[in-house]
Amino acid sequence: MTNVTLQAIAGDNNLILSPPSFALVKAMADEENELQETELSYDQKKEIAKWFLLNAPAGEINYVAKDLKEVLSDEEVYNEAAMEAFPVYNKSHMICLEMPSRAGDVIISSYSEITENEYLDPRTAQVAIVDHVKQICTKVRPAYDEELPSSYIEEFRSALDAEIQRYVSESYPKGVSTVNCTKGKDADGPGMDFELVVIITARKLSPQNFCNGSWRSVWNIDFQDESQVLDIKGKVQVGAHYFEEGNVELDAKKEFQDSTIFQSADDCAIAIANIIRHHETEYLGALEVAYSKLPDNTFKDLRRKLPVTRTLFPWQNTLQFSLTREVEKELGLGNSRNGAFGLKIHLKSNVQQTSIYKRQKKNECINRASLQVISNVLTSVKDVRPKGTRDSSSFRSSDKQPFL
Amino acid sequence: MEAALGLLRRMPPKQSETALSALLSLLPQHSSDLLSQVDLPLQVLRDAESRKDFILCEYNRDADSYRSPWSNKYHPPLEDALYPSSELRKLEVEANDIFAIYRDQYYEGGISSVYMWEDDNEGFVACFLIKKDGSKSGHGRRGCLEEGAWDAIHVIQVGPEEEEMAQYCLTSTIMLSLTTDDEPSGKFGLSGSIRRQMKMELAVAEGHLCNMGRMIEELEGKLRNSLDQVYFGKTREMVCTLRPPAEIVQMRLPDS
Repeated sequence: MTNVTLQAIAGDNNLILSPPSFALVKAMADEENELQETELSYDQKKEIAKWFLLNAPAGEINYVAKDLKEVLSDEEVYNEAAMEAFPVYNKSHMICLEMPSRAGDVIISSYSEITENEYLDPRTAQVAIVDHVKQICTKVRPAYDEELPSSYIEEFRSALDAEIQRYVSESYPKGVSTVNCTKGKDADGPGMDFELVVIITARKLSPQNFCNGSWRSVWNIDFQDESQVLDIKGKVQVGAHYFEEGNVELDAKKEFQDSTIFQSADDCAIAIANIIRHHETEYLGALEVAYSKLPDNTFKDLRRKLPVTRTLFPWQNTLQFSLTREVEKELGLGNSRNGAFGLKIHLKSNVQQTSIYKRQKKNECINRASLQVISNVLTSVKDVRPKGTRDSSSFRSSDKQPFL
Repeated sequence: MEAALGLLRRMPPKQSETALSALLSLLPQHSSDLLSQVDLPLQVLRDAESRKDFILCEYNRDADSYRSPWSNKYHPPLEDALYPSSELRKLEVEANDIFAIYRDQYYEGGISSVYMWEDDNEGFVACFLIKKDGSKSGHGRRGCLEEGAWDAIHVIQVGPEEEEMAQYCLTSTIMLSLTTDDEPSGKFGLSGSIRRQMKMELAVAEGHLCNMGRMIEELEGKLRNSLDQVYFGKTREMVCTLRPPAEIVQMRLPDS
């Protein structure tokens, strides 16, 4: 859901929010004295502010908001952006809020939404009234009859809720769950289709350790009366963010599909909970496998731990290598067109020499001596040729150095 | 400025380009600060004359043109452009050749470029860049990545030679993003960036290139390991905290 919103925003303001071309970014830097050119409108600022808020990792929206306020230094823009972004963020992250007077917790999601500030907790038949920006539940009221499912549906819903609660308490140290009826809640008996949605979320926030994470599962169970089949669709999303002296993010998601037969409320609940447990356990195992493949497989396709030669790069021989090449060039032996190919061959011979180098210290002196001869020859050749004009002035000003 | 960097640290690494451009438009007065402190994924241009690709960055840019390390020409052509001294250019040429072999041995593909320029304190600065597309459709030998991008930026400041010694200050940044999409794990994506610094005083007897190369090799290796073990490890730990594997839950049950 977040993605859809973001695309929409990016579409409206593609000039600012689509990934910029390199040239554009640079051009912006060059235009820093021409503030007129880059002055943003109120709406553009607001869209940018919303983009930052919506992209906050799990549990970090308030930190993002604090920095954003400072960057914007425009209370009005910030407040309006926050009013629009927080509800979307809270629902897509399915945050869990504590209801006042120990009434339990309520999960904020589009499945339990009555109005933008009111969310149904079907377990306690209460409606939580929330302040999205403060991320608190300010009040609760009993749900009206028309907000609750019929007793026929409630039988299925509460049975499933109990089974899911049992599963969550066994498998998630800090998990919360809810079961909402999203379609056909007024069915008063067999003969009608309806849909229940199971939400399971778990969050672990430890900002002092620069690490936050969240697990979100949504399972849609479509009770099809005619075919007497339950169609089950699941979507699990796992995120983790570690940002101590860096910024690294895990983003994993998977969709599932399954089905079972329409039975009594209690039997359905057990069957569904088992299916969810089975898929989620298997998924966790698959994530573990994906992680275990990283060092020797996946990551290797980006960069190897050691070179193909399995020894550190022979930097000490590169002087010799480049001199050999220079000599070739000077003598007209080198072929610049097949440069890369030629270089590899040289390197191989250098690597062989490295091992000899190590074993026989004697050779080192000989090598050095021969290098000296070659370099002397080269220097003399250079002296004869006219040198290029040398620019002694600094050609990059120091302000471009990327040091922190 | 601090708040801006704070925001960049929290935004998804894959969105760093968008985040930076948003900040640049909000804070035009800080644009050069931002651009100098934030590294973006590297871009590549073709040097038609040398029939080779080269990497674009702040260090080979003059106005809107970029200098190719292969032909030493600006793309698009630029009059009165800045060039390194002929002596430094010689070292640059050598560094490009050798670094290409280093890159091939560690990366089995990818693109590399080295740029050098004189600095104000009689030394020089060198920038070693590597870009690798490790995806199935790119240079991924094992074909396990749906998407795989690696950008390495090594900027090394070399002080003037004093009594056959020189000070080296290396700042390395790695940016990466990898996604696999296999059964049964589904879409599995890890992305991030880290930056570290390393300072050394070394004898120049074996040449600057040798010293710079060894430092880069060491720091690049360290960064790769800490991404693999520390950073990815932390996210893995987090997943296991959220939903511990079954064996752990069963072990805990008798206690509770």
